[in-house]
Amino acid sequence: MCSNITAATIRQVATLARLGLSDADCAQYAAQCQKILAFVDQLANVDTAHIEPMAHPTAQPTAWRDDVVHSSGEADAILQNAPAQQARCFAVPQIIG
Amino acid sequence: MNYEPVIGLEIHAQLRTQSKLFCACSTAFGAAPNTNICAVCTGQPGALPVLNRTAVEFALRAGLATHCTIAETSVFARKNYFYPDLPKGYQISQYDQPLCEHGYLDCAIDDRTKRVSITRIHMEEDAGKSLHDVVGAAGSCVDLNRSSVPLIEIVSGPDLRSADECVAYLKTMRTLLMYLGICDGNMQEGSLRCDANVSLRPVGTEKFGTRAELKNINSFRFLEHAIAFEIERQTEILRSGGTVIQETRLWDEKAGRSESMRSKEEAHDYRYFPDPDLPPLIVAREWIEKTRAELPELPEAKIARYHSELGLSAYDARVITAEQSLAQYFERAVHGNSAPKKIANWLTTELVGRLNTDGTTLADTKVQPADLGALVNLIESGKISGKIAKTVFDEMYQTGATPDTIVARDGLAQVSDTGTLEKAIDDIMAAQAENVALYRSGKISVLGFFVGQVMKATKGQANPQLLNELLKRKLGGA
Amino acid sequence: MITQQSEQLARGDITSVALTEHYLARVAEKNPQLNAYLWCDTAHALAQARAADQRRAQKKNVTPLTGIPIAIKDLLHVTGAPTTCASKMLAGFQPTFSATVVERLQMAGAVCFGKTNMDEFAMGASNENSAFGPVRNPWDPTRTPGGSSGGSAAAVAADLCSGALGSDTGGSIRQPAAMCGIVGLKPTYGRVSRYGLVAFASSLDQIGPMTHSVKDSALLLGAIAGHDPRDSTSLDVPVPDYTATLSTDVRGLTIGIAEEYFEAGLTPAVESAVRAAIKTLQDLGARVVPVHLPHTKYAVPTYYIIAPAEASSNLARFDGIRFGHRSPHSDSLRALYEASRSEGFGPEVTRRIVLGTYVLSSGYYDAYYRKAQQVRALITHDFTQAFATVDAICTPTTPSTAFRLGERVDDPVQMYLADICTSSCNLAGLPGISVPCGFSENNLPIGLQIIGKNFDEACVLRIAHAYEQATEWHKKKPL
Repeated sequence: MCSNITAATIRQVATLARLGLSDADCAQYAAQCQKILAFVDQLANVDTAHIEPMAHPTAQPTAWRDDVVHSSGEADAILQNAPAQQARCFAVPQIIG
Repeated sequence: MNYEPVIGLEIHAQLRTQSKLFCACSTAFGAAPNTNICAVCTGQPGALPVLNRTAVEFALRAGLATHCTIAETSVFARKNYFYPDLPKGYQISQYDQPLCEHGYLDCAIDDRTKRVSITRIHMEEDAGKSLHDVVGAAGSCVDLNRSSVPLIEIVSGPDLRSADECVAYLKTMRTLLMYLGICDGNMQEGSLRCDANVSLRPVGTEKFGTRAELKNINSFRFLEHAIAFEIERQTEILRSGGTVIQETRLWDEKAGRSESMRSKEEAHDYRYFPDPDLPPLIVAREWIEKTRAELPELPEAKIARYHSELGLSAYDARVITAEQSLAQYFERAVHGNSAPKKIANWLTTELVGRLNTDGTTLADTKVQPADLGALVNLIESGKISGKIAKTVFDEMYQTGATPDTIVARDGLAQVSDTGTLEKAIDDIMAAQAENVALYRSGKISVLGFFVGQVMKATKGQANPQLLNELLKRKLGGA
Repeated sequence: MITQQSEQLARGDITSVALTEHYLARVAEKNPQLNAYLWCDTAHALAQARAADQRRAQKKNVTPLTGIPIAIKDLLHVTGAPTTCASKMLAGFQPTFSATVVERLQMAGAVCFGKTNMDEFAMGASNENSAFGPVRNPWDPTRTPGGSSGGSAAAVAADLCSGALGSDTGGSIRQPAAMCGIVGLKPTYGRVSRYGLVAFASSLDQIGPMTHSVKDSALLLGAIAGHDPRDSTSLDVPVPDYTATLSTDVRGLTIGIAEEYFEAGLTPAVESAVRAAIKTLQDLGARVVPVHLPHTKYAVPTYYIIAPAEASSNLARFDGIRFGHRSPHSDSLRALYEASRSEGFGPEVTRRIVLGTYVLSSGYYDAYYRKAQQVRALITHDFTQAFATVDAICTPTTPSTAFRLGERVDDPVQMYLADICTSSCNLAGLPGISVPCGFSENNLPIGLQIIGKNFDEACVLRIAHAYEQATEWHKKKPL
């Protein structure tokens, strides 16, 4: 596979992941990720034709919950952890769009 | 150059379970902000989702009622993006292995039926609400009461061709979901939301044009206006040689136009992957079949039955089935009654008319379905006249009294006894010799006068048909 | 320690308060140097100790863990204590609920004793990625204790608690256990509830005991294991009495040795100690046969695609809005997100989020993430095949002994290779334990790993116990 990871790639990824990276950061992470990806690229050598991807390590039956309301009692404690709140709501800068 | 609109609708319907999709918080609408919340639906670190069985049952009903193939194994996937009302930074949804696929819904538009394909129905959790313009707040505020309420997303194929078709499809789907008991259809409260993907292509071509996505459509009127506006907007662009931009547009009903949502449209890369916190959703064949067997009679089937078995016109059948409560009322009124068409008539014109005028709902009316049936029975059996029936109904509507009680109390029974009527006629004829002569001389319109006189004498209770018949005979010289 | 102390408490030789005070004093003395604990509150600990003593006095619901101080990795919620995950991102965060495993310990009457240091958000193999300073190895304070559960490992090894809970995603219990000369067990995936564990990689994470002895491990595992309706990935498999099946007899058991694990760039000391340990098991009566796990070398690259991918998604909730660090530079929503997250996350976490986001992104998903999940299936299949003929598989736990602080921080790939023997267990979901099996010339501990079949912790513990009882390594303490 061997992708070419540039600072621009990192910049794009950082945007998707909402990380505020400086140009220097982007260059540094690019170099590191290039090495890491070169390392993981060896998976391309493995023949995986017709192999189902494995999303869960142990075979798991569906886990169910009955449709019963239960008040958590944690609402106030949850709000207490909020860095900024207004009238019981989480306050954020104006959302545009 | 003539362009053909190509429209697909994505409907998000909130499932009316008691608790949320992945936690036990209440789904009740209208609670104070951030009261129906817990660690799971606020995305606290360390919290984990657990699936609501009833939500799956409801989704199954939707899939079965729209003739979809139900996947015995489907997968919950994470849709990753950042937004303040999305507490985990991802929405648990379904991606390439949804619960239902390849169905359809038949919709009546004017006098034709349009089959709209349903590409897929999948389950997902709702996001919270962002509130702007909250007093005292510099920015926006987030309320997570709605976070993780269960939704189904119903994606139609690009089969719709006009605003009317879109409205008809949305109405039909809404009615169906309400019949299934899985959604309350309350569009003002956001129980049912709709996004539209609209593009144009030259008539007769197959290739799809660039589409715009319309959001914030929460009423039939908005939908109609938004679609019409969009078709025109794109037509103008294409006619003037321009290109339609792929974008998301927000409908503004007040302004009567849509606005592009983002000036620089950021391509969304949702990075879908199977949610490792949730095992595959396995729905046993027995459960699917049981759900299928337990589906209530759906609108399509009702319409067909009303038409073929009860003799209603297709139009009346559609009107009555449009609201499940109306259909239920009708069926109870028809029970043990021999004139369903007449009941349909009384229901739609007299009762619903009055309800609409004074703003009462069918659930709150004092007129019991059985009593409406009884009233129609009285007319059919000739006990009272149609005219008298209207007065009886007035009282039924106001007080809830039964028709038999009213008729007995006021002695409103129609006089259908030949002897009694003949006597009344004889009396009038005796007192109106001149008019009798006038009639016999050829002025047959005088019949009306005699009808009026006998009616007066019988306090309006003379059986009109019988009276007419007898008068004609007697006046005619028999 | 737990076993002996439990007996002492039962006999009335000591009280939980005395025991707890003993450890509080030890922490006061040793923690400034070792930095094993991020939080250890006297009042919080003693209140629980007093309650435990009362319980014992009233003979109400006394269990072997009643009154025993257990250190909790700071990735697990304990109400009344902060959870930081060793990150600036969660400074000041007060959990609104306790983890299921913590609730179970509390039901058993254990004292939840302090929160231990770790690599930030469990990402690391040396505990050098903590925002609150590295942990030092009690055997040699110039060296790392391993990671990410470095604090828990050091706390147990340095006798700062009776036992501890850690978490393991690619080796984070077993590797520090090996490097600190203690016992560390990663249970089968789904054996122990993850509810209340701050998620790193959801399909790999498991919570497990870190203890002085195998018997202690069995005790602690029995207390925390079991189905939890709040964790959809926890399985409804009955929890046996793990202490009851401990035995010094391994006759009749077949142990597999995969040479692929010995090609992993082992240091000579590690290789000879582990091979000697296997010989000991053979002498004890176990049959030792070769097995083949041909995809072993792909475990680390597979892990380093899947784990960062899941982590990048799990860490998206840290956005400065509902909890945790919010940057003062937040005039726009975008700035809020970017500044808060960059200020809150350390370099390794940032690196893994970048990597994880990349391998999930459009155009790369199939080549990386999907491919890795396919190789994962092959690695798992290797084990399934092998377990058709053997009861357990023995390998080294780590390729080397504890490395020096600062030695690998600039070379991520080198650091990642510390997981070479351990990450396959997480990928396949299998249980694995590390027990001390020797020391290097410079007196650094070496660990033997025993891997079992799904939900066969009993077998793994039995072999580990037999080995432990036949040797003296577990009796050695750091100075």
